[in-house]
Amino acid sequence: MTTDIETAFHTSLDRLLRGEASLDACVAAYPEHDERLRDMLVVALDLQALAPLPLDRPALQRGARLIDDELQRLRARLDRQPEPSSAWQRLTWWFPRFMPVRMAGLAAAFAIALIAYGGVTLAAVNSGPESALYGYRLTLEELRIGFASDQDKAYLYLDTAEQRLREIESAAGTGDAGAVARASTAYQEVVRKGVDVLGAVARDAQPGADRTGEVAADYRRRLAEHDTRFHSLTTKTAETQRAPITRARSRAQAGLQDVHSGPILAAAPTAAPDPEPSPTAAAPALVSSPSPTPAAASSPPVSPTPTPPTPSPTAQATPEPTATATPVPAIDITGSAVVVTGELHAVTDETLVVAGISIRRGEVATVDGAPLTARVRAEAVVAGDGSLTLVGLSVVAPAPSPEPTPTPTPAEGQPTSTPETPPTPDPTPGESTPAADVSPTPTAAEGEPTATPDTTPSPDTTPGEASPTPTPAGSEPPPTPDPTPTEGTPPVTPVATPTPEPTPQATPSPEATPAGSPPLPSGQTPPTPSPSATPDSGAGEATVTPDPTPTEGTPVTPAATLTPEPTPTEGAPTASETPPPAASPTPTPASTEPPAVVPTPTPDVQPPVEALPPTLQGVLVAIDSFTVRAGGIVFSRPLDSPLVLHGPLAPGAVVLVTFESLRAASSYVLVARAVAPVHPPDGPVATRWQGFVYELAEDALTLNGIRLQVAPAARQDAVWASLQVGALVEVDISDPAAAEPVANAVRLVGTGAAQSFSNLAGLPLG
Amino acid sequence: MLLDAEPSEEQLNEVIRLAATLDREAFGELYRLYVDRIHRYIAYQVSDRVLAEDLANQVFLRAMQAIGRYSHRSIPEFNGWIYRIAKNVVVDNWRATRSTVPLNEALVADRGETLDAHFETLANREELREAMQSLTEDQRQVLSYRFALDMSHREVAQIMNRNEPAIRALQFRAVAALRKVMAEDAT
Repeated sequence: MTTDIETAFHTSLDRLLRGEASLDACVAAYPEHDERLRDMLVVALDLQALAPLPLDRPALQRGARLIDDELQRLRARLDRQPEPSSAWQRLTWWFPRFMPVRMAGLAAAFAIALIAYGGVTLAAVNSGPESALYGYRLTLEELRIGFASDQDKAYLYLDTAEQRLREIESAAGTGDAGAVARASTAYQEVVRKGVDVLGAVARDAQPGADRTGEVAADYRRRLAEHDTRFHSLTTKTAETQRAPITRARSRAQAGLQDVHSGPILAAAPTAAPDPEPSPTAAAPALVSSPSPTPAAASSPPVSPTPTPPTPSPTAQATPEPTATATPVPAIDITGSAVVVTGELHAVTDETLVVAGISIRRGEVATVDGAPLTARVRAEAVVAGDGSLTLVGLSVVAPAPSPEPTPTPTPAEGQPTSTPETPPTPDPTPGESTPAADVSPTPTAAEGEPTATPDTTPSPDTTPGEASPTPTPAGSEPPPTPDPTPTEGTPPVTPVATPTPEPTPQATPSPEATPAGSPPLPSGQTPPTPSPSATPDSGAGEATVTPDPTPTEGTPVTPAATLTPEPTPTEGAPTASETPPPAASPTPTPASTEPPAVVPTPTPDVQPPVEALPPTLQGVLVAIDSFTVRAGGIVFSRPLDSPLVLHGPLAPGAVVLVTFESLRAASSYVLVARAVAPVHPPDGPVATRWQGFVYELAEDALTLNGIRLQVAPAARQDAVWASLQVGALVEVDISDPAAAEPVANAVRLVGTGAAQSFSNLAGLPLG
Repeated sequence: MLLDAEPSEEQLNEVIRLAATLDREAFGELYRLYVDRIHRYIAYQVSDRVLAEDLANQVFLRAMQAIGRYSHRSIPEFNGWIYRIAKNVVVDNWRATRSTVPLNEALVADRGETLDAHFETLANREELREAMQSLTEDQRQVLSYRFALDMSHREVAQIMNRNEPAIRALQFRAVAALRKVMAEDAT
């Protein structure tokens, strides 16, 4: 009687595994299946032999600790939360969620961001691809992304891809082939997922949907940039490491193809947006990055918990992907105008602090009229040393009202003027046109409440004309009682200290001519194309940037009306002359000043907004995936939220930087919006930096997350001897572009910085 | 709470219920009781030891996130639940990688093998693992449960929610398919 082979196989295998018979004996028992049965049993025995070794004790302990840590974090979060009502909530409430925008939080984000360079550093502390915990981190990231909306997911994946790329670069730099391979694999995965999600979003989107277009444009730009970076990396790495890099690059290229075709192309045609970076051209201007950032194993939502990326003093000084390390296309912004709006935190004889940004008072004597905690609009210029010098100050919302008044969102494209103060458009030719002019720009209400009359060149304004009309002014800027009751009153953020961070302006600027911007003869006033009106290619886009998140309910206070011209009084030569807006007052070292105070297009933000976030408008120096450097300040995005860019953002452009809260985003989003493209002037490189001391070593310090060697001479004085972590210092840098720059002098700036630092560090980011 | 290596069904039920409330001790216990088999299950399918350890931890992290939704009824059901997570983790990893694994000398040292023997073993393993990729998901699962975890057909049937004969048939077809693939590769 014959047995079917399946029975023969199972019977034989059982006997073999029990040790009751040899292979030959088993096969001999079923001669009819002889060869096939033997082969199958051999395969089965091979499978048996494939059984892995048990987990060793250290690995088990490691894992147990890891799980226990995570469990405790999870429990801690749960304990802090109110009892959820539904199963879904129970599951998800501890994930980062959208929280109503509160001014305090925004201001805190704004201020913290200035010192949060260390956020990147914090990330670096976490496991990189060389670590056994890398997969753990990837899982956490994935979990976090999983709870975002699809559009946010697309952003987050792209952002994560950026981080993977950095890891690849970092690992390649250290010659760790395994780490390169792992990071490369992770990169491919996130790009694939991101493009998939974007495709899904695009399929569901209305053709030309704003948000989808923005995301798609972001993908096109950044993937093109990745392609370039991979190419560059390939040429620098050893043959043995190239395969994973090549695979990652292929993935980036495939992603690029995807975002230029199919539903994504249909939803977001390539022609419209993106004046500068061509998808394949790798947008060199935009991202400061041809430079593979040194080590920065930056990681994203690193912390398993949605903990605020507070600038921890412990931040390791991993060479930042930012300022220092990267040879940034240098833009000299000396003399350029900066407008900061936000809460007035402090006023001393020499400086004032607005929204965490320290500004030297210069010759403006009218500061005293501004009450602390009022929302002010400070106009300043960037001095040669990178610091800001005040040229005008006006109060936008005088009262530190306890409760921010949610204001109705102005109709898009129509700067809403507040009822009380009807916009008094003052369309005097040649002068800055206030509110009225701004209108063409569809910008919705924005963080920047006061579009002061000054710099608002009307659409028709020809370059050169766009000068701000110095308002009646005279010598003292009437502290504008700005009415705008509607104006969301700035939440009073406890955030105290100034966190000025004069960005290291790097290197001689390449001719990074932002798209379409007419080169300016040096010394000549740059046209300040109003966002909307700019004739340039990029202009139209610059302005509008229809914000995806139209939250900010605050009315756009059209320029003229609201804020009486702060006009730089005494010291400011500009006033009566019509030349460039704010910029003019400063004795700019011989060069074109980038258009200064352009009417700031307002950000959007969403309905539940209670007040306006702080904003800074200034000349863009550089952008990388973590930071925006503009107007002498470095803004660092929270680790777990994307950096949102709108418009043709090339170095030299005037940008409005702010923090917004996106629905469903885990925390505040750093947003940079082009206001006007300009031609960057050439000029000296700033070599004086200011920032908080994160770490101190015998011969080095970490300034805002950037490690600096301190020259022996600089360590001889009393300042160095008494320096403490948290102090706000100013340092002279000899080579800003070096991987580890050397500080030749360290000066203590202000007092109480340490205290402030700890305060800031303790503030929640989101 | 420190249970025996082989806790009673009642004890295990209790641990699972408590772990579902994120009780620290219970979850730790659950980890201790399950991590080795989860690791073996994973390591059977991925060749990198460090990666296997990593993935095993991911399984528990995912379980921690999801256990609130799991309503416990029986141990086989729980086993099925957690192995499904493990399967998903492995599948996700496969999707992401699909590449071979570099030789890891640490493995040699750990296993006390000679280098030649190690390479031979590794080659065989890789060949086999590669061949396993051609199997269906169910077939791979059966082989992993049977050979990596030494589960009986009945246990596998419970986890995979099928009957024993179906599992036997599945296993047979899996081995037959492997034989075919490897024979083709050899030629």
